[in-house]
Amino acid sequence: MPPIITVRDLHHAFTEGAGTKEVLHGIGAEFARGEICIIMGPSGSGKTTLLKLIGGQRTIQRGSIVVDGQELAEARQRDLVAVRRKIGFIFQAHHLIESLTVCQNVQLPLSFDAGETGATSRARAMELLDRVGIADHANKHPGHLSGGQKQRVAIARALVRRPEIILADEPTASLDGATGREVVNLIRSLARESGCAIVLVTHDTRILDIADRLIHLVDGRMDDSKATN
Amino acid sequence: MTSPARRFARPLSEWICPLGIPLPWSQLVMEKKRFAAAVAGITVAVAMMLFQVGLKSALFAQVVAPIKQMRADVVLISPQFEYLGSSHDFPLERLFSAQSDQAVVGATSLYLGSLPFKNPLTGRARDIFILAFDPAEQPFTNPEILSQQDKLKIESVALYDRLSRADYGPVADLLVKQNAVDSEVADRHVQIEGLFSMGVTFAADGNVLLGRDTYLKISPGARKDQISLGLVTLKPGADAATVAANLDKRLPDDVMALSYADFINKEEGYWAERTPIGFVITASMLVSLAVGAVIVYQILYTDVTDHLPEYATLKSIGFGDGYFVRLVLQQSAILSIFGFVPGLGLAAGLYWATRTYGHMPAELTCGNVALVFGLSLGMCLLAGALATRKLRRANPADIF
Repeated sequence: MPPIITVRDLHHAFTEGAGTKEVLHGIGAEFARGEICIIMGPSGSGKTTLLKLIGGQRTIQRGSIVVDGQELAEARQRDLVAVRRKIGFIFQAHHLIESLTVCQNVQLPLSFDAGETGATSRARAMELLDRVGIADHANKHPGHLSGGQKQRVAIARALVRRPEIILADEPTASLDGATGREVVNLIRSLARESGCAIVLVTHDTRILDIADRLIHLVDGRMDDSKATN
Repeated sequence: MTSPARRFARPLSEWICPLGIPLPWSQLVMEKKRFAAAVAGITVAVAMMLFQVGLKSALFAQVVAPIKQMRADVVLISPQFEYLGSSHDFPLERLFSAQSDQAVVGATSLYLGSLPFKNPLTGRARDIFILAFDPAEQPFTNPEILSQQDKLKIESVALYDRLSRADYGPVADLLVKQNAVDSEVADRHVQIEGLFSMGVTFAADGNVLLGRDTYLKISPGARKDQISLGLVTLKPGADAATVAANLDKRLPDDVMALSYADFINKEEGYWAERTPIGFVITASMLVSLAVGAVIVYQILYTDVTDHLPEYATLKSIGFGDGYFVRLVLQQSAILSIFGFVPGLGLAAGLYWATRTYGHMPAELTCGNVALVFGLSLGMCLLAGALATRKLRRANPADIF
């Protein structure tokens, strides 16, 4: 089965003062369907940048990323939008819409699907919220939830359209140890059920056991010496 | 995945408000103080625009207020006529000649001039606008004038415009207390025996109606055979413009014939184009529109900028630019409507004050309301569309 994500010779640099600082140096990797891959590395190693490039949230400067057959380098805006819709993105800072209720936050991505109505999308959102254990908070606004609860909502939102890919950026960063563990277990069990690929960026070593594969990034380069399969 | 055809087939309500989730409204009202501030800003901008537009309409309505009370389909004037207060005279005979036209059913003459009017309390005199006519004729449509004009058949009797400036004295109040008020016009005694409403203009701070004979007696140099305006009425169905053109061609060069509508346009045109007043009013209206537009833009731009991280989140999970444009335009429309309604109320209050204290015919007309609503909505939509540019151009990750 071909990989769902292929990264080839990926370079990326940020402007820093008068010059530029390259944060990714020729990254190459493949990610298969059903695989849980954790990208590890210290702060500033480029792991979040790599994840955002895969998610079509940054413009690719050099190299290639193919997501489900779509080349992202120089892709048209509409193609990028189509790719983003295939991905469930879990942000480090949750990024929930504060003005909407928990349920509405989870419903929102379902508006991409023509067959969905307010009632069907609410039912689907409630199903997901039930799975992540916060159905009781469906009508609350995110501002009234704890960090762990918000992350559960973010997971429900990422999974509600049954995406083929889940990208998670430090999903346990703002959570205590026990809650973080619960959250990654949840991501894993939900993803296993749907057979989607998970690429998870973290520097939390307590959750590495859920990974099928580890990729280490150091100073924007893959550290093959620590790679696992 | 959704095909474009299926998406297109979605109901409009789904297109505007997907899944019934009122995100534009929710975002606006989430921070109530900011929403109130935005609405207040737009309210002030709308009130300012409505007031300025209304002021312009009122000022130009005011300058033609005396004309609007005249009964005429065609008006004869001197070729030297500039405006009502500087009308110049032409021979009465031309009015008689005009009556020979088959379409003409009646013609009356008006004598216009400015003469000193003495304040009955202080004795100070200042010029007032005089409109004089033969009381046996009916050159005005104002019912108050029609019901009292017989009084003008008596020599030295005058009717006084209650909307005249206070500088002329409390004539209206005095007249309520006593049946007549004694005063002087051009140092000649007159007895004011009635009131009417006409309104002040740029050229006149007050108005007095006199019978023709009284006027000829007290106005230096006035002659019965030299009139200021000839008011011609036509048979029903006659085309005023055509008759005016025929008369203009047939009558000597010392008189001009204009349709009633053209006469009003000429008076308005004088003040709008040949005096600084028109320019100043128009310029102030345009400035208020520009200031209103900037206020609205600033409010919306700030609102959109403050919500950029949330919009970036939506963009990163697959919402396209069209969604944000629709979202912000809906917010713009909501703000413009919420700002417009109280703005309308505030403007109505200002109009009332203008009518009450400025004696100007300021009215909220449907045309002005529609114009300002269209402008404020247009400004809101434009500001909203401009405010989304940053979001449309940026990568989601650049905004987080």
